[in-house]
Amino acid sequence: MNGQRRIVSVYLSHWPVDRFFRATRALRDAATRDAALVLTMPMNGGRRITALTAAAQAQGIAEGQLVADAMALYPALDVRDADFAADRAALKRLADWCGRYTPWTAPDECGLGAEPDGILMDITGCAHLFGGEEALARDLVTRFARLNIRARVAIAATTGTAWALARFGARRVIVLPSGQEEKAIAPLPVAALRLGDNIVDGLSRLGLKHVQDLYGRARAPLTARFGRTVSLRLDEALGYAAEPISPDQPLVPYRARLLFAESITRVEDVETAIAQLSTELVILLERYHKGARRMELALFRVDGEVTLLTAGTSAPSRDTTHLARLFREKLQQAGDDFDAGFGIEAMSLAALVVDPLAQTQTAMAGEGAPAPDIDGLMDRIGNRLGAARVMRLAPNASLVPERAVRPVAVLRGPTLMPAHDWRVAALPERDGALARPLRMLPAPEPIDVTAEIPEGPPRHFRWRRVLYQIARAEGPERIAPEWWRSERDRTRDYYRVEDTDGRRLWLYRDGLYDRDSALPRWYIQGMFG
Amino acid sequence: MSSCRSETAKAGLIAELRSRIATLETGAVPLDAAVSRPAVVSFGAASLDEALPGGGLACGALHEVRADDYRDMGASLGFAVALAARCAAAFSDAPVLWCEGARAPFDVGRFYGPGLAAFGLDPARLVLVSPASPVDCLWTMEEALRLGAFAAVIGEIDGRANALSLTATRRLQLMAEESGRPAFLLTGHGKASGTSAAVTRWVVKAAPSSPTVEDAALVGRPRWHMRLEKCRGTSAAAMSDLAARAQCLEWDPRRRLFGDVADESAAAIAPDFRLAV
Repeated sequence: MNGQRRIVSVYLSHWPVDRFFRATRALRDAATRDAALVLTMPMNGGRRITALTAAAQAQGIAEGQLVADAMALYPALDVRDADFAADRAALKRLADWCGRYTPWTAPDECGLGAEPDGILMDITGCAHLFGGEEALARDLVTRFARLNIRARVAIAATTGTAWALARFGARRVIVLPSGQEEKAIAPLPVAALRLGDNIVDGLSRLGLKHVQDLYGRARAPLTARFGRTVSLRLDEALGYAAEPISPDQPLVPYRARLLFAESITRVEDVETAIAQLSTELVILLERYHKGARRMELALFRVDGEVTLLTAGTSAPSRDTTHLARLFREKLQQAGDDFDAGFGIEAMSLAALVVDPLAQTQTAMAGEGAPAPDIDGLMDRIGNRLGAARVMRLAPNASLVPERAVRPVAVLRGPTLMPAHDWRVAALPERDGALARPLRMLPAPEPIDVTAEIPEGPPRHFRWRRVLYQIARAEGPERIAPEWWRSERDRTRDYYRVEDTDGRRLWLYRDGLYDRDSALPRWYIQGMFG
Repeated sequence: MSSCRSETAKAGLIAELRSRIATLETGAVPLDAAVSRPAVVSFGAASLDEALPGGGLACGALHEVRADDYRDMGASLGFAVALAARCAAAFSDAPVLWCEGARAPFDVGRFYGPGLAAFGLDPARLVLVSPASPVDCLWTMEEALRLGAFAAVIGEIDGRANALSLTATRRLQLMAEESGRPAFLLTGHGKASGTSAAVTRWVVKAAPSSPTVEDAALVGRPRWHMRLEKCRGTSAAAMSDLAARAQCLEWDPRRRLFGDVADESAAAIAPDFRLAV
């Protein structure tokens, strides 16, 4: 099974330094690539060098050296802080960008040092799209070089072998036909097996310096001394043990991609490409009787960045114009903010979430215009304003008024809710009586109330610095707290009041006089209109 | 005679079956636009319907509702919900799209399902949108009107917002005309700064609710004072007559109908409201 797979291992030989210059170029920093520059990190014994430029190396400075020693060697040294978190984040973005070759990409967690310094890709069945594996590897190295990232690439049938050849191989680009792993890695040092420093040291002390020294050796003594790692790594490299790669991006079978001969920058061109991509995606979805619910559009930029746009639909859709329109509106909304960088060289459109969608007959023969598509409009509004901004009101089983309703975003379910009996069961029916307010304040607001008797309805109250004289008051409607939720909630007495001018409001007294130790407080919660 | 009747019965049956099949197939609610497409929505209050050109609220048109005072925002909201419920009743319960204002939660709160249901507007048929800006709100309203599937499209926009220009209101008006569905702008309180292409503008003020039979202290059916500040298509004389006659309207949530308030004392409370014209 392993023989079928083709794995690319990309080794970024000078990643921290390359990353640093990419970041500082963006910041218009004066640092130039020719300068003797080191990246440092506080470690035991003082600040030590974690990465350095070729110019610094020429001055006799080495990785792991103390900054003080390095400064003594070359006083004009440019010393900067290393940023491992930024290195990792940038590596992840770069791995995403490699999605232009295959959807199956991820940063390689295993590096030569402690920090990751590579990318893994599974290009099984993809290479022919780029003119073969050799061409793909060369294309990758050239593109990285254009981004000022130095990379070495190896393609092999197993992750272990590809990893070893990328880091210890003789050439910048190595493509190894499957079945030759054993021969290819035999002369490499044992460090090529992705072993920790202490294991490599231990093996070399035993005289086992090269991978071939391990071939055919009894495994029990090695395992007893170094644990299972050594034989496991060897088996993985040679393809005897399976090693799964987990891709960074979710793997979806519904994906359409487009490579451009010339990079494009104009929004109009991007829109045309979106239309083409959605047509391809719809054909794919149709074949499997699926409809898209969530989609992701990836714009692969020449400068090594990926712009991701997502859009959702409330109902599974396979409508080309509708899908294309969702992204077109996203682009239009970005307007002048739309940043194509130095151009876009590839695009992919994927349906991340799909639902079954059978072929439907949309209109009967001889019937007029189809029914207006409310779901489609909701998708567009939701995608433009944000999914949480389009909602419906759904009932929630609770007697506490503010918990009786829960807003549900339209994009998760049908646009229109099933009918529901919203009547408050506890209240008697009376003509014109509105049991509950039209609108509720986001949180009840405290008010100053004067009542004739403490337990009675209010006479007048002050809310937002305005005095309201109450002409009519209806109540109390007593609502007990949900004790299983919070012990601090108190019993409320609700009153529906109308002031002398006719403003109808909903007030409540929080707490009971005879039961609670703290004095009851008055709040306003809603408006009857 | 009898064969003719059976013919129509058959046609009705087929139409009904078709809509049922459509519901089964797509899970969508059948929107039978062809059956009910009125030109006006009557208020149900005779005096008001007579005064308006066409005998009711024009359907394919933009209407504005504003509160007389900051504290009347609740009243203007209630009136707008009543109008929306009235439109929903007229358009065979098509859904209603409501764009909440960005500041609305602070001023008047957010919609509450049980209250809406009691007021006559089914929450299940209400789509709530809360746009972050007036521009987004106008865009949403335009798109919703263009679709023509909603019984009413309502947007809360501050009347003094820059985005609410003559052009913007004209676009809404044209869109409403095309689709034959009414649009409402709730412009908060205070006079709008610019001119508007709206067909009517209503100013609403709170009014004491109807007296109740059981007990004078109980709150009755909602009532509002209102004044028609603008009404296209009426003569100047009729307009001044309309404007001068501040009216009191009552809302019957159960029958979803407005009613005149005959009670003189109730209608006469707002002399300053009338003077404000």
